[in-house]
Amino acid sequence: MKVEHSAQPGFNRRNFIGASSVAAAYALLGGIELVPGQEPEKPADEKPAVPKVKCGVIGLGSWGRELVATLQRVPQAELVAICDTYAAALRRASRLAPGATAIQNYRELLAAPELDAVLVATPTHLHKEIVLAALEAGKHVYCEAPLAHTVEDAREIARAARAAYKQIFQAGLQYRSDNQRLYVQRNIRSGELGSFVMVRAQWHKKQSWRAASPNPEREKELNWRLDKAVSPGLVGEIGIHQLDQVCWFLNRLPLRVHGYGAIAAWADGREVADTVQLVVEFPGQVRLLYDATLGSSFDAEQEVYFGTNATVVMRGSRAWLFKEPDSPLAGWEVYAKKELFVPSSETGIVIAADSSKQLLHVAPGQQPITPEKTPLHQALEAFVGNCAEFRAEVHDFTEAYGQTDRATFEQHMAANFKARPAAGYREGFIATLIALKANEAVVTGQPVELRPEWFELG
Amino acid sequence: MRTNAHGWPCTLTWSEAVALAVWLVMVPAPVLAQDSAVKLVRYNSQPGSLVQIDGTSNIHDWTVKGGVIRGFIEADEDFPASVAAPGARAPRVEVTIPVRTLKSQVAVGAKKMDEVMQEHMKMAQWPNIEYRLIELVPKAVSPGAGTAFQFDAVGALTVAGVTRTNRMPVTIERLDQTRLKVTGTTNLKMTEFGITPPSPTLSLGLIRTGDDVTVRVEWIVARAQGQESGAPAN
Repeated sequence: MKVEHSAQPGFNRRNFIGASSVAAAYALLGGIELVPGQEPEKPADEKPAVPKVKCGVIGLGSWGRELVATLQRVPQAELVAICDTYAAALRRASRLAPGATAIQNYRELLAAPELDAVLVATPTHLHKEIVLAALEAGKHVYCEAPLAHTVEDAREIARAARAAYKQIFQAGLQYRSDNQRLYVQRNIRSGELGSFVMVRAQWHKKQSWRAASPNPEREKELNWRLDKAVSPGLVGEIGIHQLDQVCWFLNRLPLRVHGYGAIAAWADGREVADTVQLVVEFPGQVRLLYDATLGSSFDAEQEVYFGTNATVVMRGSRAWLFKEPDSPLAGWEVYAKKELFVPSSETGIVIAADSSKQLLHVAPGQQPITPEKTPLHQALEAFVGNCAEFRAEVHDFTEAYGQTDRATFEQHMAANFKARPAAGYREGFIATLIALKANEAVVTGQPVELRPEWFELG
Repeated sequence: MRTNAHGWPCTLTWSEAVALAVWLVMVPAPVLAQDSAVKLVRYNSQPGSLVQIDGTSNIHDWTVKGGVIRGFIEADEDFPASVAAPGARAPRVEVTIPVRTLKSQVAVGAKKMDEVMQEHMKMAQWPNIEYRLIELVPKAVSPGAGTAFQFDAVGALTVAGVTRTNRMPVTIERLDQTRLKVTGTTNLKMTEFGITPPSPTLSLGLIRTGDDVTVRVEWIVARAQGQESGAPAN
């Protein structure tokens, strides 16, 4: 799951194009931008209220290294171990985390009693064995999305996470922890858009997905995304985040998915489509039109939610609201920042918590407030923070009341443990199921009915 | 009636008292257990307990809640009815509330509010609020129901390392054969405990909290395992 590639947004070419030129274009169109309010951060060197969470990262490919780099910016986390079967990957990650112990066998890592949590970023089809062993070893687990390459494996992981009720399990659906998307989600759920008309989403990025390797065995291991037998495809690996976001914002589960795939750009003998289109049907005759390609970078990534009163456009970390002339006035948008969008010369309202108040502090011509942290950063902060507080709550609960039955424990936690927003095992399983079934539709060219009972964990 | 040095009624001479003390030390425990005067029952904390702190600020009133109350009551078999009788001995009560477990109840920004509170309560140095009962004074009028008893609890309350004597009206009711519920409300001032009322700058602007807070406690305790009615006490 590899949507972001830099922890410093705005400093690489793609982000620059995505964030500045498109934003400027939307600005000229006149969108109202949706931006969440931000609270002052506690300095990183300040002593945390609860002890640090000792973490280990398993799987050190490009995304695993992103986790390693990001974890080290989370003050509450202490990265104590990194693990990969491939020595070169281990050496490369060690340079990012010189203080962490480098281990090749994940079982050795899980055996360390001082380790509190593991983050699993191995190839998707290797998640299950590691995640089940980690939960068995009593560790908190962050498992990348999709949870697995088959629905059965994903269900098994989710069930094991449900059974381990004294541990935190977080699925790597980082948008679920993103302050910006949480704000837009509330905004959309408030009914601001009127009735949903339709949704469009896209992910365009020119890249081959094929990595070079010194030997054929390693090449096969490295290019698992291109291996038809285990790859969840472009929809499973990338589309899962946008599909999950659409289901989350609409608050509906899909009924049916139609898929189309093509090898349009990289005819290098691969069997996994590099270009896909989906039509996802939701209750209420709402449909999502989705496309993703590795063949073109044009127009990058965005989601558009069309409603009878207004439309929301999301591009990366920014969002704008476009109101219909006949829509009722909510009030806040009168004072909100507005940007003119070309080519249709429409006025967009910046969607931001307290945006009308923030406007008072933003001088004309000043850059709008953009989130400083990537969704991944926020997701890892949520994971580590939840691990630390959950552990402290379990400790205090047990000290006060001793060992109790599960129902009493869960009742206490429901009332007293306020988790930071994050995708749990249920969200992870449902997103994986939808993405894998969508990929099945792409691979087979046949529509797939999503039966309601499939969403149950059993 | 003779009185001792403290002016309390005393029917023993010094040598008799020493002899009694020696006898008490020497005598085997089962003999003591038969004596109702020393038959104590221990009630331990149960989940479902609640502590709530309500305060004010220039923006809006605020509430903090916690679900962890650690501690016990050690009292005789007939508690709380026995304490309502004149001249009864106060039970032993000790309570600890971890500051970390107190959570702001605002919908947005709760974590930040908690951080501010923990800092002002000097949590790093004093992680717990402590309470020890000194005296349980029966209220003149008992409720008609017969299962709930009202007292004034006088205790030593320690917050942020500062101990003050606290007088709190409490109701103790028997929920069933093994469980008791203690409910009490008391008004405190932060400054009495050396705490400066927080005035953080959050997204809403500068917030100034008031000095006065109301603390409400609902504490459920149950007889320790092996101490069900009729079983010998430790």
